[in-house]
Amino acid sequence: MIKPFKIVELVDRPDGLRVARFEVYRMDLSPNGKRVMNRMRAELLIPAGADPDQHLFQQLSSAGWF
Amino acid sequence: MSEVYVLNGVSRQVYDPNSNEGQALFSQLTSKFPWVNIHEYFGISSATGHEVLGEPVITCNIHQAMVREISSGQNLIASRKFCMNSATSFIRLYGLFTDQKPAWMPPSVKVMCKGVNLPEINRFFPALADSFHDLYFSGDPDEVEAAFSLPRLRGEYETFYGATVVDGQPVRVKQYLYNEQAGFSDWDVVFYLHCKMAGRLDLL
Repeated sequence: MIKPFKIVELVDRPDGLRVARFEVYRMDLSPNGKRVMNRMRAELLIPAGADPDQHLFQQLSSAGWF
Repeated sequence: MSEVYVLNGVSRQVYDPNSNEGQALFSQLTSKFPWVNIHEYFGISSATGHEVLGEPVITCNIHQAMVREISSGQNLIASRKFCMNSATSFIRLYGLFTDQKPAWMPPSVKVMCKGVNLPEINRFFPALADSFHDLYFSGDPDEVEAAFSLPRLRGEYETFYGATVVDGQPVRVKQYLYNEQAGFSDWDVVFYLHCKMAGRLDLL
């Protein structure tokens, strides 16, 4: 399964949530017309019982990454 | 236009995404796949009927920087295939061919790459894409044409071939014709480069 992001680490929290540390990338055009790879490293809280990949995909889609 | 492949008398052409033809093809594509990001690609093909998938397919060649992300640096090249009737898609990763050459390949053939089809998260995947893979090879044109009952077709600069394999047997063979040196034309050079980078000069 190909994913446009990579979950580097999943950390369980005592409250049942999980922290996903991830990297996401996207190719764009810079203002001078050259292709650039934009990358972001960040963390996202994953609700209890949620699939981390699906949750991340939905959140990043909503944010305009894909 | 930098590449032509011919299959059953029908040719498929690859265009620069910024050319008029490329722009028109991307318009077609985004009407069915609104999530397509044109900046990821350096080539887009005309739609070609696919015998196994049973529908027209547009192929987009993915930039190397994206390929490295997709494949963790393990593959030579990648493309995204768009099935225009079913609105499904998949990634094809082209890796070094490390298996034994199939017995049905003529003696002069050198298999360089194997293309496998992979689904992407939250994108509809055509189930039939799991049923085949492609082998990309060079060989003596006379011998290859005779072995696969192909028409006599040669690029002025270079000629390569691709076989689609189902259940271990070839179901179609594509002839890739290059009339001049261009971005797509030197498969043998790319093969050597990736063998060397992978520490697999034994594959040459």
